[in-house]
Amino acid sequence: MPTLAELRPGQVGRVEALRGDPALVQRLYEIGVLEGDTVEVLGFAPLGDPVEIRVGNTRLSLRNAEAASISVQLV
Amino acid sequence: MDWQLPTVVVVLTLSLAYLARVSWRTWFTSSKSGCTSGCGKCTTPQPDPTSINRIRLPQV
Amino acid sequence: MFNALSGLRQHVGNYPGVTVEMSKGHFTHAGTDFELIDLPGTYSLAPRSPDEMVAVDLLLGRRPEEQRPRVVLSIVDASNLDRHLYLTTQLLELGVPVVVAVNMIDVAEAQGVTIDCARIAEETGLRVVPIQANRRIGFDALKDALVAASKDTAGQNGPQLPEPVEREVAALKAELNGDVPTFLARRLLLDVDGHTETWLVGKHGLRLKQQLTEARTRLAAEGCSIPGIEAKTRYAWVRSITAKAVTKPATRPVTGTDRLDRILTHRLWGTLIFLAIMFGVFQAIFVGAEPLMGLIDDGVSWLADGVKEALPSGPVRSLLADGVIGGVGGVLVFLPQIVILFGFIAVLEQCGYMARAAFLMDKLMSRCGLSGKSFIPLLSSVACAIPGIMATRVIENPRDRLATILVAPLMSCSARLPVYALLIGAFLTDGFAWWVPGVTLFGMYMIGFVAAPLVALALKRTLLKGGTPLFVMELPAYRMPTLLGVVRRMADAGWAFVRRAGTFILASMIVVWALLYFPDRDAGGRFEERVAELKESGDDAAANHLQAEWKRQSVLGRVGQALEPVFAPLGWDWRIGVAALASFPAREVIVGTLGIIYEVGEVDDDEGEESLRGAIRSEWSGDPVRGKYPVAVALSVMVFFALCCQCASTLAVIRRETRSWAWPAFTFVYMTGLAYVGGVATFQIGRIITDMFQG
Repeated sequence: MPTLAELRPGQVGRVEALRGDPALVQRLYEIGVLEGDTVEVLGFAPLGDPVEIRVGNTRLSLRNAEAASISVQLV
Repeated sequence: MDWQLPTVVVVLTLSLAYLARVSWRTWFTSSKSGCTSGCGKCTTPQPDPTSINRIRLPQV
Repeated sequence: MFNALSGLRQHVGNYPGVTVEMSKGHFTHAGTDFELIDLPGTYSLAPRSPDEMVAVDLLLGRRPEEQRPRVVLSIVDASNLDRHLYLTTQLLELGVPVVVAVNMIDVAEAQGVTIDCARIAEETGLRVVPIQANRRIGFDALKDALVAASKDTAGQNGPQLPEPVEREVAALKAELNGDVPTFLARRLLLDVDGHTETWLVGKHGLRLKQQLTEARTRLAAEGCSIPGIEAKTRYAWVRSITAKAVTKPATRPVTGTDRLDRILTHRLWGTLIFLAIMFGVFQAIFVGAEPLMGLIDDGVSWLADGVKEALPSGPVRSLLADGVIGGVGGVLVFLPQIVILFGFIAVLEQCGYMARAAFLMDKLMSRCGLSGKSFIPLLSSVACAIPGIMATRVIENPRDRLATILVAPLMSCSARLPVYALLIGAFLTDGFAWWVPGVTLFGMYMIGFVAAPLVALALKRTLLKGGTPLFVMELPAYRMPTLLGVVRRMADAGWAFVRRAGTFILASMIVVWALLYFPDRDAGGRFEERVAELKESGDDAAANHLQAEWKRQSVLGRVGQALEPVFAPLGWDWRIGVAALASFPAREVIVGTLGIIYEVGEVDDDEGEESLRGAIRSEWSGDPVRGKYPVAVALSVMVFFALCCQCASTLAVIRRETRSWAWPAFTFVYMTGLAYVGGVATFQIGRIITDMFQG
């Protein structure tokens, strides 16, 4: 199962699971990245990191290392 | 010339006293007005609407 | 919102033991007096640091200085309803009546989203009021709701966590002998490695930690794994309500923000645009300010001349004309530039571009062990390091926060602008291409922008070793800055600058003047009179020579001469060195000090250019070192100022925020060292390059 970090700009994924550092996972949950939600990858910053995504109506900035905590199913 | 020197001494003393007082307040009290910087940040309120319920991205 | 409700009736509350300050305001409605406390914005009530704990404690009524709140006003953003209501569900656990204000209704409608607040109220039992804070719409209804809520005796009910979870919470609470309220026991269970856990495990020992682990394992087995179960429960409740009360269009419309961000956060174009904007700002600072600066300068000269004519020769006349008017006036000349700088800062901050800039810079920041969250406090420091340092409070990780604080003074603050402007104006304008001043100014700021992350990197590798922090940041929608907001910021900054010039800088200039004036006589009599006599007799060369002699033997002059070996590698003479020393209380003082040392008042200036510039140029051209390498010396002075910490106020704030004397001392030492090395390198390299071109 790919992670969010592996998606290209424009691709949309459905969140399957969140794994990793509990503090990070909790923060992601609080922001509203839940299993079943769709996330869209909007783009990457100049040096490839961080990645800008959209969840619901919010644009978020995540490091690749953090995006790798989110397993997604390509939609 | 006779009055000039004492005048200058008085002015100088007042300036030094003022600087001493400001330094004291800056370093040893926690009042917000203890900052002598000229940024005007303290007086400028945050622009409406502020980032409410978000991790407050501080204003420049 | 807070400002809209309480107007100007605000003050700041300090809480012992933490750096958090919360604004308090007052307003009255329908005969009821309200005290309003503004809590720091957050996504959730899961405390991650002592500062966040203060807000939670205050809401629970556990702060000794504050009464427990009677009503909680939860402000949610209409275009992000779900996420903001998440926090509201946590607020409902406090047992205090909650009023919900749905803000930015207009923005939501622009996206095709309609919200039925009455329906939300019906489904939740809460009072829900639509508002538009920036236009003050809905405030009366809101205040009515607050008054009504204050008469409620109990809070409302929100989503309940599944029974197994609550069972464990009750068990933990019992374990702690009811020491903590249910709310905190719940946080203890739910926030893995959170602040509550750290605090309570520290207090009660590892046995508690073991019980926590066992409880969490049990819950995972029952399908209620921590932390996910909280989010699932809360969002399920929230979404069931918004499903009934909110209508969204089938496909999300592409907003203006989306279109803009496609370019502005683009890897290549976004960065180029960012650099172009920065250059544009700096070029504008130069070009735009010129006419006004000329006006102020003329006014100052006129005033100085007037004083010279009105008073007989002597210390008072010199004090007024050279020290006060020349010194403070020389600083006030830069008012237009300061105002323009703050105008741009206000526009950039209000339109939401700052978050994008942080996004673009995050990779660089994270390579240096910081996060994009550090970028915004650092960018704030371009106005003044002090609010920048205070803005680091949003950085949760204490080591990252400290690293950011320690490098914030490197970001060229607005007090350095007069120095840059003066020297660039004198040595890098005439005879150079039109873009040179803007680019040079840009370069000086870049020195700070580059030095800060590098120093932070060094710190994180050595003194402040630690992991790279999380970076989850929200990029808010773009908005048009209001003209009023921008003008207000410009006016505030301008007024603050003038006030600082008229108080602190004035006092400093008087002292500096005195140190450069006395002793005012030697065996031959008073210098001032002899210089005037020589001038009158037409012997300008001898007059200037005596003038220089006078300054040289003054208190500050002697100090400067003694330190000349220290200044030499920088390409400075004792005059520049003295001016740099004198500017340690306030950077702008260098301008006034140079004015006194180069005796601007005596220089006849009818070319329409700023007289101090001309004076410095003509003085340096006669000197072997500075005449040969004026640009190199000018640059070395600027680089020194870019890197040096000449602001006692900043150091004082560092002391306050870090609660130690060691860190401000460290900052002062490392920055001064860096500045010296930088200045020397600049001059020596500049000298070599100049020789190459002329050789």
